[in-house]
Amino acid sequence: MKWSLAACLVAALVWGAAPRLQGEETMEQKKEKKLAEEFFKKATWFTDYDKAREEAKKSSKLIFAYFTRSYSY
Amino acid sequence: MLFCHITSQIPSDPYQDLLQEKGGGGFPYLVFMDEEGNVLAKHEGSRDAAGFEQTLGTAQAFIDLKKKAESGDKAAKKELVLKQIELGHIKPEDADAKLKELGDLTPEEQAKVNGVLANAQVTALFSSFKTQPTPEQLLDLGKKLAEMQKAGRVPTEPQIQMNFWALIMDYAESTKDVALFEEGLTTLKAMLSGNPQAKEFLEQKEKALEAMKAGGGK
Repeated sequence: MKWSLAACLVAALVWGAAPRLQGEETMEQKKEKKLAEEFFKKATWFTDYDKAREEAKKSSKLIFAYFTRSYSY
Repeated sequence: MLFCHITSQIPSDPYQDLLQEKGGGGFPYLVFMDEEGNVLAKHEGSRDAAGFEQTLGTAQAFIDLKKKAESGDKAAKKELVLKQIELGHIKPEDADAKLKELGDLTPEEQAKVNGVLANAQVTALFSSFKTQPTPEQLLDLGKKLAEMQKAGRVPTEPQIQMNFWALIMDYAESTKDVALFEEGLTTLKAMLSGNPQAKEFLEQKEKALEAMKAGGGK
């Protein structure tokens, strides 16, 4: 069946990249790369959801949440 | 305070479905949450200080609305429930019962609720796949979305809406449904006009429509 570019684009957007090929980075390596991005150094970012909520309770502050991904890095 | 959630697809990483739980349909997704993790405002404006400040204002307005509703203000109670449905604090399956408590909705309020519930339903359908779906699964999803569209349940969140129509168009192309395909294309052209990255995609779809009309199909 001829496969639509639209569906491929949607699939890539929603579910991410194709299965890992030999020689490609592991998911763990991709996550490490993400965590090494510059913006993490510019302020204090929580990456643990439970700890973020704990800190928000303690400090009576709202949480500004940035959702991103590393698997298609 | 700042929280960054990374969807890593590493099985041992917790909360891998958090994006969908918090109403996100793609990346990046930026929201303000309270200490319980309830979304108070979704950021849709410019990604600069002024834009974020505006969204913070929206989050604060929600907090103020909640206080007003809790003090007994009827109008505030109604507005709060509608906002809670929009923000995903109330699950779609519980929304009907909550809405009945409010009494009659204006046509505008009903349209807003319908859009919000459609956003949640489409997001749930996308989230039902834990790995990349097969072409056949995507066509089946397109069929379900087409049924939603026929019933008047169309999402209002732009990114969700684009995915919604793209999959419906693939389904329409496979079943040679010219009217449905054309409706999707008209909607996406309106949403994506002026976006140079979408030009090739839209041109491809125009050609597909011509072929369908000429009886060529796939």
